[in-house]
Amino acid sequence: MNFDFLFTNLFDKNIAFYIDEKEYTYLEFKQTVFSISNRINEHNIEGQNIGVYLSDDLYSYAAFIAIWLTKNAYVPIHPSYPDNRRIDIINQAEINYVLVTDSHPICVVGPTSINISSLHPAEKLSFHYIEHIKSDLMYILFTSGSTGAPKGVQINCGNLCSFMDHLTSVKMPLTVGDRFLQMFELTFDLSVVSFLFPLQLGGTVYHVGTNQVKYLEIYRLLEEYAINYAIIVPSVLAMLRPYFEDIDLPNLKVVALSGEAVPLKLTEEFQLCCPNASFFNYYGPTECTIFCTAYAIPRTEIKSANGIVSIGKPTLNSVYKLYELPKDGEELNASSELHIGGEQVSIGYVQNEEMNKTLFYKNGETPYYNTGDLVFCDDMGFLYYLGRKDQQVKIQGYRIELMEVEHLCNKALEATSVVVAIKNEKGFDELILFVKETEINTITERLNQYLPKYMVPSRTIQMKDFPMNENGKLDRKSLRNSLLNS
Amino acid sequence: MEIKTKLQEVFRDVFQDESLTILPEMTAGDVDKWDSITHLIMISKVEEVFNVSFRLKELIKLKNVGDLIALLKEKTE
Repeated sequence: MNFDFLFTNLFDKNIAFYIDEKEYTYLEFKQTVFSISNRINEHNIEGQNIGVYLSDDLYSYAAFIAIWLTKNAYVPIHPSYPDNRRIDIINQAEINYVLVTDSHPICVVGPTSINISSLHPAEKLSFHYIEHIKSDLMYILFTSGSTGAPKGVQINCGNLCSFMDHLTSVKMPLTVGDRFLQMFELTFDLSVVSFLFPLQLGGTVYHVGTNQVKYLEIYRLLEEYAINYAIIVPSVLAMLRPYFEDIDLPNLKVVALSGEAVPLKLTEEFQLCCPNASFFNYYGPTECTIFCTAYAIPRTEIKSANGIVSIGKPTLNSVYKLYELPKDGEELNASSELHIGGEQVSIGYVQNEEMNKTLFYKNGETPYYNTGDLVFCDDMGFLYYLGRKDQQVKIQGYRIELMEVEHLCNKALEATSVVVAIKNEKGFDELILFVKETEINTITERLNQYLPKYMVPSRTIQMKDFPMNENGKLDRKSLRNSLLNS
Repeated sequence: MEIKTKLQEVFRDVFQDESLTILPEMTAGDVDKWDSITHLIMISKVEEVFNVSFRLKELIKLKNVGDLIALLKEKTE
């Protein structure tokens, strides 16, 4: 791993982090990292999974780096998680130590807590760092499993370095002192690139606090601090959309859209707000280390399908295989299941042999992960995201992609809609349309004009706005649950 | 009706809490259901009730309820 920002004094006077209106220099960050590293060493902890009970300050970031320096892996635990989830994570990852701060001093009963906010900044700015080897575990991030129990994705040094190799191979006009947005919860892997990339370049990380109204705070930072590089989820842009006319962000050099499907129209409109930025679409599940395909989105003739921007081609050290599913007569595009292979693929979930056997496999020496995402590939080798395999439903014998239905509903109603599928009392799939409040009173007639009969949702529910999860992504699960509980 | 009283009605409606009392120093962190989505809803409701419209530059400067009341005073006077 490249830790030059710690072991040289190149950037010492530069600002490393901006958090809650406070600036921290690289020197201050280093002092905090080394003091935590020393404390971890006092406990003789090496090769373990260490929990970090997250706080909205510098300590969480410093803890992650200190855990790496001491050859351990970090496991972020969010204070908003219910007790059972916290306990489940501690048990699954076999965590013996949790780093805590004064703002959240108690995580769970059991593992030893080490309070890192009372440590004195390290006086000696050195640490005996032994280079990582590829198999050293770096972090475990827990994602929601479809069965309800969280799955811990293990990412090792080989995975992360391979990802960073790709990122640094892409020519981007970034320099020392540039400003980077970090809008993600630290339990989400886009946070890793959002803090690690700037640190390696000598840039400043602008942390979006959780106490603020997120989409406004993101815009405030972009504008007031003339941010140069931002990875943003499209849902945040959708909230800012009514104000696009007022938005002018000439300092943005790179805008990367990621975390969910990227709508074409929204992208085209936001490009006008960022006249000097190169745009990218980053795609990838946590299991393939942050993102594993990328598309440099041009200013004109953007490649798209179903109103969704192409996810491009695999990153430097990634490959893929497509498993074509049999095509139904009326489908627009033949969809295939996407399997990602190569050096970014995780070794698997922690203590979950059953899921590992189902989703991870080797082809020769190359590890692969079955993403469960449906895509199609055009003649030029560009991939297009069509939806989740588990979002595919059968209605009257027709196989239907929910994203395709959504796209057609959006067109028919000229509004934003979300389609979810539920099992009706007879056990058959039924489509429910959620649509942002509209004055149209001929919804069904309009839908009938655009959609084949079997695709027309059986019920329509009008909503003022759609629910979002903590990462600012559309919360389909909560929409589905609202139906099940009604 | 006074701005504060009208605004309190909007807050009670949007954040679904009939006993909510707004205070000048109140922020998103103080109200359970105050997140990005409910903020969007609250702002559009305020625009409707007070017959005003906000620019993005005005919205990002609002640090608390007191700032919103001051901005409404400025816009409705």
